[in-house]
Amino acid sequence: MKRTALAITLGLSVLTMVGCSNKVSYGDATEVETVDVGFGSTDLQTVAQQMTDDLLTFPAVVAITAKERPVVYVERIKNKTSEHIDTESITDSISTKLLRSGKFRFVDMARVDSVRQQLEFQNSGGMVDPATAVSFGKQIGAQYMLYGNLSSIVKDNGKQKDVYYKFTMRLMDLQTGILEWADETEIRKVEERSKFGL
Amino acid sequence: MNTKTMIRWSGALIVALLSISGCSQKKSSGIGAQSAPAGTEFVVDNPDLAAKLQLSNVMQKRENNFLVVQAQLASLYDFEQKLQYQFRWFDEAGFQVEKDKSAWRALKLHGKQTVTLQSTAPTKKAQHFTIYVREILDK
Repeated sequence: MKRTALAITLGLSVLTMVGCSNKVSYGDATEVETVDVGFGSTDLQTVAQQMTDDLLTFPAVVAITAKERPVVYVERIKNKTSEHIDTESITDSISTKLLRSGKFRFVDMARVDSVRQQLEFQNSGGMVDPATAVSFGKQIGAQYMLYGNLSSIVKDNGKQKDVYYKFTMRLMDLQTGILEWADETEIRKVEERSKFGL
Repeated sequence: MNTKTMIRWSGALIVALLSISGCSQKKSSGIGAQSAPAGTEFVVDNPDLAAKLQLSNVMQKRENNFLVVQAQLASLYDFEQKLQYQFRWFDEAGFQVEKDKSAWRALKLHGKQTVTLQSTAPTKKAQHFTIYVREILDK
């Protein structure tokens, strides 16, 4: 009886020691994340970095940004993968990087309704001094449109899952319809399943 | 089985379980290079990794007034390595440009493979840089 009790106590103490009990800690938001093969933070950061790196040094873009900061409109990136991916987050990262580079300016189509509401309030609400009200019809039109696609090819044979992501982006001159710049980024992620779950 | 034997067995079990439960720590330091007045300075924080990897041919140029840096990373090892690298940028006074925004990028390096790492500075203010390479640790 005593031996059984001792064995149980020892067993429990072993389990407590090896359990690596749950704990919360802060991680590094910029480090490489390899939790699973799904589209993750590292992929988003890689895509945004690679696209801005290339766009800022591409000869045709260097020419159009040499004397002025062109106004760009970002269209949503089409998600053609089988996953749910917040593509707006990718375009947000890219447009933020481009804006902070000091070479481009942006118009935000996602906020048009709020802007219209505010301008209507200023101009016809009767509460704002007309001398300080922002008038309609003075906004600057976008000269270029930035848009893209995100697609994936997934292969899974039970032992190994392979995901290939392709991100394509283009910059179109809205006046002429000519594509001034295009680039692709490829990412391959592989998940190998171990047999014993270790 | 007497108590002594049981304690002995439990000890062995604890060691075995600890070794397979992944509580062991791996080095997260790496190797790097940074721009210096007299060329490039190389940094080795992890001699084990430096025996398997070599960073060389660090070059820089200005394109559209942005600093572009390129370096060669060669594997001195016969097996595949899972690595991550980061470029960081500093202005003339040594202050970091776009702090906390340089992400680590994943890189799979095959045995004896040589790759080129390249990055463009996020703003025109960047005058100096550091490159750092370390292993991806499985968690």
